[in-house]
Amino acid sequence: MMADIREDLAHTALSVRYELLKHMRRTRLFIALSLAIVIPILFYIIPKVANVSFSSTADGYMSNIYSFGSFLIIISAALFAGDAVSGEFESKTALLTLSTPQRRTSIFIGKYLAAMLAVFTIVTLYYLVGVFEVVGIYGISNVPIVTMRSYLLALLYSTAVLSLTFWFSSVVKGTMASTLLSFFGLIMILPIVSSLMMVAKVEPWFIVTYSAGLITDVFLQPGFAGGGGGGGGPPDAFTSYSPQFTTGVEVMAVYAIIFFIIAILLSIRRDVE
Amino acid sequence: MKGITRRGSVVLAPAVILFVVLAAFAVVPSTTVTVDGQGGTPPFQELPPINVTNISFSNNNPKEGQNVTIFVVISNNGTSDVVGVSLTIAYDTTNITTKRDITVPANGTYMVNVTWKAIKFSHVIVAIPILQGVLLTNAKHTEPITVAANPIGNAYVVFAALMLVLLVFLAAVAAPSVWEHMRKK
Repeated sequence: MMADIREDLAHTALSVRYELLKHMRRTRLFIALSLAIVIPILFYIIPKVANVSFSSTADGYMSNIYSFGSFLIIISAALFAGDAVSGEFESKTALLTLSTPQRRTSIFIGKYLAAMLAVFTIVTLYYLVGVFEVVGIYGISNVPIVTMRSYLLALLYSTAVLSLTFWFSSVVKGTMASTLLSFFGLIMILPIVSSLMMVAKVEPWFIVTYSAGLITDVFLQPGFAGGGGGGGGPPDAFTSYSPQFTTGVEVMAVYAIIFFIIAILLSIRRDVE
Repeated sequence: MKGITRRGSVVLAPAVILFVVLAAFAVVPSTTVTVDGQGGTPPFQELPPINVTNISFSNNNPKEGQNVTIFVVISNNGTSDVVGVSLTIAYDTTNITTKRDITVPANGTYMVNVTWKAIKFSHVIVAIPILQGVLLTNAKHTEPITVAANPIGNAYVVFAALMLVLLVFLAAVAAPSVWEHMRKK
C-alpha cells in the first residue's frame, strides 16, 4: 500500500510540475504577477504625485493596499484554475492525459495544487511589495504584526476560491463559461447576495466572499471604517455586519475542503464526449 | 312627515353633540406640559438651576471589554437644594443607567459614578438630568471616548486551518490507494 501511495504522490508531483510549466509558458502568470506588483505600487505613487500625505498609521496604509487582495485572488484563481478541468474536456486533451498510467485523481489534484502554488506566489509577492512600502514610509519597527495574520487569511481564502473555481470548472463544459462563471460568481453574485441578506438584516456568515473581509479587518483600529457611534442612525437604516474571526476562518476552510472534494469527484467521473 | 323629522333629528343629534364637545375643548385653555427636546420646557416654570458640568473617565484610553468608571458631576447654582433629580447616562443613544432620587445641594455639586464595559470604536458619553419627569436637555453634558478594539483573531488559528486544508489535499492523493487496499482485504 505504501508503494502505491508513494507512486500516487510521485504522479501528483509530476502533474504539478507540468501544470506549472504550462502556467509559465502562458502570459497569464505574467499578468497576475504584474497586478501583484502594480497595485501596491500605485498606492505609493499616487499620493506622492498628488502631493497627498499617506495614512497616519501603517495599519491604515496596509488596510488600504490589501483591500484589493481578495480581488487579486479571484482574478488569479480564474486565470489558473478557471479552465483546469473544462479545458481538458473541451479541447479533448483529456483523451491523451487520461489515457496515461496515472490515476485521474493524481492528475486533477496535481492541477489544483499547481494553481494553488501559482496563486500563493502571487499573494506572497503582493504582500512583500506592501511590506517593503511600509518599511520605506513608516520604518521597519512600524510594520504591523497583524500583517502575518492577514497574509495567512489571504492564503486560506485563496484555497477556498480555488476550490470553488475548480468546482465550476468541473461542472461547466466550456472553458470560457467556467472562467466567467467563477469570476463573476465571486466578484459580483456572492457579494450581491451578501448585501441583499444584510438589507434583510441577516448576517451572511456562510458566504465565503463575506468572510474575505477578515483579510483587511485584522488591521482595524478605532477611527477606521466600521466604527460605531455618531449618535446612531434611524432604526430602519442599512445594517452593516463584519465577519466573526473564527466563523470566517471555519467558513473558508469548509469551502476549500468541500468544494475540492466535490470537484475532484466530478472530474474523475466525467467522460470525454 | 313626522317620520322624516325624527330621522333628521337622529342624524343631526350626534353631529350637534360632537360640535359642542369640540367647542368646549377649544374654549378651555390647554394644560398639557411638553417635554424639553420635544417642544420646550414648561412655560410656567423657571428652568431649575442644575447642570451637568463634567464627565470624566477612570481610563481615558480603554480597551474593548475593559470596565471604565464614568464620573458625572451635577452642579446646582441655586440657593435651595434640588431634590428628586434623576440622571440618565448613555453612550451614543444607548442607555447605560439612570440614577434616581438625587439631591443636589444649594450652590454645590453631586457626583454620580457608573461602571461601563467599554465597547470598541468612538462613542459619545451623554449625561442628562431629569426633573419631575422632564428631560433637561439644556443641562446635559457630552464627552467623547475612544475605545481601542481588541486585536482580531489569532494567527495560529488561521495557520492550523490552512494546514488542515493542505492535509486534506494530500490525503486525497493517497485516498484511492488506501481505498483499493481496503477493498482487496
